[in-house]
Amino acid sequence: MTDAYLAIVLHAHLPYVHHPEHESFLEEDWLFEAVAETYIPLLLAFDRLRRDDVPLRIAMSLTPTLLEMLVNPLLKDRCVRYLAQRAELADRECRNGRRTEEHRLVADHYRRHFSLARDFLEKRCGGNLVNAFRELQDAGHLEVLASAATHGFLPLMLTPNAVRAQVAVGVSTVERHLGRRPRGMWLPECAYKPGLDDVLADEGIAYFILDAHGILNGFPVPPSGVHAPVRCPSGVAAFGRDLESSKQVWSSEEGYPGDGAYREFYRDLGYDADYEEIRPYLHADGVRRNVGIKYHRVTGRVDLGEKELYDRPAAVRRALDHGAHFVFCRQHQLRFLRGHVAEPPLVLSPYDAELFGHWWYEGPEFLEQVFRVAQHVRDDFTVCTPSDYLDLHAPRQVSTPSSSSWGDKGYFEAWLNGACDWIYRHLDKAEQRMVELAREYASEPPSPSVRAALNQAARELMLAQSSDWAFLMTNRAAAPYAEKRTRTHLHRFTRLYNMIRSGNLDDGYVGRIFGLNPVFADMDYRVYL
Amino acid sequence: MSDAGRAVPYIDRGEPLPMSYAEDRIVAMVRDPEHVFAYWDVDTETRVAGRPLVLRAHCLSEGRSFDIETDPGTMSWHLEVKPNRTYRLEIHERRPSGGLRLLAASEDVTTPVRWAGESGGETPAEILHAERRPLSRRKRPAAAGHRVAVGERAAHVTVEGVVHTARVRSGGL
Repeated sequence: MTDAYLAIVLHAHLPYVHHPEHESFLEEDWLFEAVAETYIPLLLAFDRLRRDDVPLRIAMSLTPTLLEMLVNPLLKDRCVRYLAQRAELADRECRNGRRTEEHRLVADHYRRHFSLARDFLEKRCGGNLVNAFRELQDAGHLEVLASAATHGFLPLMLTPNAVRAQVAVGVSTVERHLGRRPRGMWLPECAYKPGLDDVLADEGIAYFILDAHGILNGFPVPPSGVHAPVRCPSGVAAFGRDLESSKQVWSSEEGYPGDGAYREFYRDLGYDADYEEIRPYLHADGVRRNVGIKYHRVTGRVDLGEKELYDRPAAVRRALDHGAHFVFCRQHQLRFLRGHVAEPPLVLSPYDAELFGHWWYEGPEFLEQVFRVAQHVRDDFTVCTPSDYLDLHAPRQVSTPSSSSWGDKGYFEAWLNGACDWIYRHLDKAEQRMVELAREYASEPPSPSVRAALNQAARELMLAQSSDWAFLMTNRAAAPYAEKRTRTHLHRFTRLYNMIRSGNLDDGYVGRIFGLNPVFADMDYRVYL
Repeated sequence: MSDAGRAVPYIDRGEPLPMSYAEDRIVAMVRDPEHVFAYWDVDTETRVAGRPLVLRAHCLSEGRSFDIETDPGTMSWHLEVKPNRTYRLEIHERRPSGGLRLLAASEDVTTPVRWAGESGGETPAEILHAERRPLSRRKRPAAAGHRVAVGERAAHVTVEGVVHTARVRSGGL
């Protein structure tokens, strides 16, 4: 045991996508893919670590929208259906006489993978993955961070009450699902501007996480940089992202996931298979898309058609090597930092959870190996969570962090540019109107009908505020869907606003649109006061 | 078949939103150290139709200002500004005489520093992009070479019933 620390933080988030009006819906696959390829593989890895008594301490943000989807009955059923279909497809591939023996070995891996995932979801978790996360938390292995209610981009919200509402509903939703009040807050997109920490302090949040330059450009400049948290004027602690360990996993030049042995994401059976064979596993429009069965490995900088066959055991071995290498690098980094940083040094490594498994297929095995190896180097550093660190070492650096995000170019442009800037005038107007309604009904209790409409208006506003929509518009990927979601929620909000204002309430409409997006069932519009 | 007869694919982008909320207002939003985004709305009751609008930016930190002439239909602008400065934006109507009539002013906004102590010429803080996704939409890191550590001790992990071994280094450098 030593006074040097490594904290790994995984940010698990998806926007709320729920379309009961369709038998199947393309964007719902985001959740099913993440469950099949990231959340369950990570939980299985954590189970193996616990079975082997390997010390496990990890922090994860489970965003409110993700939690609400994971417990949604329709999405749970559809997720089981997705896993069953994929297992069936993999089984057919195993028996496909036109595949080589090498192909069948890979297909057999997928057959077992999807079957295992389905068993895990149905039998181990009773259909509810939140149960597994909660169990890990209660056993002392997992610290869950909150996030804003719908991952709203807080620095671009002009109405302070709207920021407070996103934070308050985010914290209470995570508490409702996990049974514990979270101490940490994952700011959506790590986006911060001075003063935001005051809102977090009001909600009892002890810390949040920023990209490195948010800390390094703080005022005054903190002498220990990102290797110890800073104390904001509000008293809330801010942790900074470690650059070196981030690069090792993220960088397109030096990152592990680009290794030739790893599974190639972009070469998918959905495009390679005979059309009639794959048609039953595509969406109703019959367009070829990824189906999650991929026979090839990264290989190198070659065209997709020249990728070599995936060798699962070799890929796992490489992930184990990389896990060991990651720990080796942290040993050296922290030894160096102990001599150069006045406080007990910390390396805090935050990643998108979906990187592990979905994008980097072998990521869960890598992460598992990091914990296995780290137990042997406890003379050099201790694996902890941000809360563990704060319990041992109160922040001594006092500084106001700088405006920043972890997006492209480090500030807010990825969410505020020519492709998406039109949304803000409408969001801002809706925020003002929501506050206006909340104030009007603050002292005089509304009728049940009006209360339901007010609460639904708050939900529609929050759903429109998801940072994902602006991001998708910027990247031109799924942009029509993102635009439609933004416009639809704003339109519904405005209709509710007009109904409440005019007194012509349509209870059927209010109930119907809640059924389409049954999120935050305990919403109380007074959160906008 | 000519282009004129070809069906244009319909993309459902959702319900239309109002072009204007009929109020005199300008909002300034910090985008990054070198840009502020402004959007404005002018009530048709207030404005004389067809007169051009002028976006005026006051740099309160330096006590100077600059104007941007906009077309009558323009309702937003990404302004180039300087880091670590406070700005106030105004939207004006250009009169036929050439004079300006103030319609609305923004709240003051301050751009962040580009790097700590930038006026002193210190090294900028490195910015690393997380390449955030939506799921299945993010670009994956490209294939690249790297070094793998060699070690002194073995660690074992069981994945799918197969025991894998990796060398681990511990102890001295």
